[in-house]
Amino acid sequence: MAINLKKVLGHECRWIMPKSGGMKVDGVIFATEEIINDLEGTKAIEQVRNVAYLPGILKASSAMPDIHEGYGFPIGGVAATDLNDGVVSPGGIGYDINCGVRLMVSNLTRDDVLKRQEDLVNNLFANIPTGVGKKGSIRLSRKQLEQVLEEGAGWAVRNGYGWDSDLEYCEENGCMDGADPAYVSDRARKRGSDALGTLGSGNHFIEVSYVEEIFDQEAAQVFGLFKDQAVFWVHSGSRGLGHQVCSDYLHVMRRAVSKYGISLPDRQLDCAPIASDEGKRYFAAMASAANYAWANRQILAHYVRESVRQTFGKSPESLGMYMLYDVAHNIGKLEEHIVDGVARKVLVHRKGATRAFGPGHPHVPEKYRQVGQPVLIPGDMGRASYVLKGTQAAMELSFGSACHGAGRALSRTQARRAITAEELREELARRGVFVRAATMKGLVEEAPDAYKDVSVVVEATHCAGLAQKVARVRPMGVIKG
Amino acid sequence: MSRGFLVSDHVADVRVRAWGLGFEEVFSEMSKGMWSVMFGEARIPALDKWNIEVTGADMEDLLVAFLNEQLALFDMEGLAVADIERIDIRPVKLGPGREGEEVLLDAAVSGAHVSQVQARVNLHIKAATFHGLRLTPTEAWITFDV
Repeated sequence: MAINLKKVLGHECRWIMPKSGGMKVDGVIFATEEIINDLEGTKAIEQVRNVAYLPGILKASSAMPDIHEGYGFPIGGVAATDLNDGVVSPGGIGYDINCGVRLMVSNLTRDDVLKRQEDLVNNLFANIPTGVGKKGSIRLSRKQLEQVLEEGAGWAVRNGYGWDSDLEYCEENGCMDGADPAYVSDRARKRGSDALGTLGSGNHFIEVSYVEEIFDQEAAQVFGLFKDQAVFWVHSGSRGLGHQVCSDYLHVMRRAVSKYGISLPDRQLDCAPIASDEGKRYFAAMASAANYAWANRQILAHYVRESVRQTFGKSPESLGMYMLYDVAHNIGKLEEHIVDGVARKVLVHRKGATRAFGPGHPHVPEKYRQVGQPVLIPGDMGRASYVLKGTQAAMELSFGSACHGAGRALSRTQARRAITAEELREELARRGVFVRAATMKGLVEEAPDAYKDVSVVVEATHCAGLAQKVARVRPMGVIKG
Repeated sequence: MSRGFLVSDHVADVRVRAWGLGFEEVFSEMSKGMWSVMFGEARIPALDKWNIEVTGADMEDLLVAFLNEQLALFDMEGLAVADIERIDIRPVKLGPGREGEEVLLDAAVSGAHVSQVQARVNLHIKAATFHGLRLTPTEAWITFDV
């Protein structure tokens, strides 16, 4: 079926796909013409259309400016469904449930870090388990794992991995309501029992960066950011436990679509009514996996603080290593939004999209409420990452959502052909970045040129009004799985 | 060739096409394709044997479950599959209190612990997906999340 996608008059970064066929709502893509043209030959736009078939979807099937082909949903896809007659779709949340990003500030400067750059990265690499199959040092009993699944980041803080104040600066305070470990399979539990406090492989990373440019002085000040400041990123998720929850419930949903007579164009969108037994069980398991991911990032952040202590001989407290924020970018959330002029509770699926609540929203920490939620957008290890702030426009346009990152430009094989490990190390050194990775091959696959330029995505997000630029940071040190 | 597999690299994932005569051969070749992605050209020795049993709502569901079960065993126990020695696929009745049928796969496989493979993981597959899945009695396409 031909897809009718046209630019919305008067909006440089908004495209509409009018409802047709089995679509229950329009498709809307927030992107520049260049980004749209780059999607040619992929299924991403078709996936925006397919998501619009979901029963109970409200307003639109949306895609953020980092849209690219995913599984069922496009990456960058956002869909809100009605709690009464809508569905929950594991494909709209993804395999790595609550994959997300956390950013910590410090009172260290770029110069401070450059003096100890290699030591810092080596300490991070020594202290943080990375790579395929790497087990963590935390061994959880069945009861402890259940506590992690119920309490999220709070469990980690209660057990000495971080500060009480960290929780205030996590989306959902690092713990999602509705979690019930009873719906997490033994297989998923086993995969999670020794992976807590591990980074994983692929695009997950720990990074120390410096604030290169500030675009919004007022918001930067509220977020505690200043020029040349050293900041610390953690990008990880729910590890094998989240993957197993997704796989387990995709099988449940296969039966559910037949049982409830749901017709969809792609079986990776398989789903169940939110109010059904299958939907409730998946949500409870998904929330449990999300809590596991928040506990994981909390522990990884603790290891980062301890590595900084080891490197600089000063306490993380004296170095002002406070949490700026922690955001989830693969998740399903129960939120209240205005639909057709009425406040309604909806389930927002964000698959490769970041919550971007605007000023005054009660779920934004009080300290940030006047400017809007921090929106953390990681880029690649050689160029830049961004801090943005959520907007009222996002509340109206995208259920309070914005982009989440850059997206790959090259396949892993292409990346390996494009540059050798030695060349990459030299190139990164020229850019002032020192890197350690579990394998050289894995490092090359994650080379900067293997990714699209995140600045293009951020400019489109800013242009669409979904979030506004606050600061750009440049990497100085990275560890990769 | 009457049976085999072919790996193709996509921007953010990997696709494998497998073919054979009947579902059993197709499933077996897809499994080999998956492990060739995981370990490249390195040979996984057949030092141990174990069984895999999974169920699915239909044949597509069963294939994805079969592959994801192997990935879960690798994640939990470090078990890498060298060969599928036997596969039986048959319909079975759903468990107590549930009406209808599902498909059951029972396989005997050989392989080794990852520490006994003379190579590091080439590319870590995180899941077999339903994205772009095609399955006939002689051919299958699977997209793997890596």
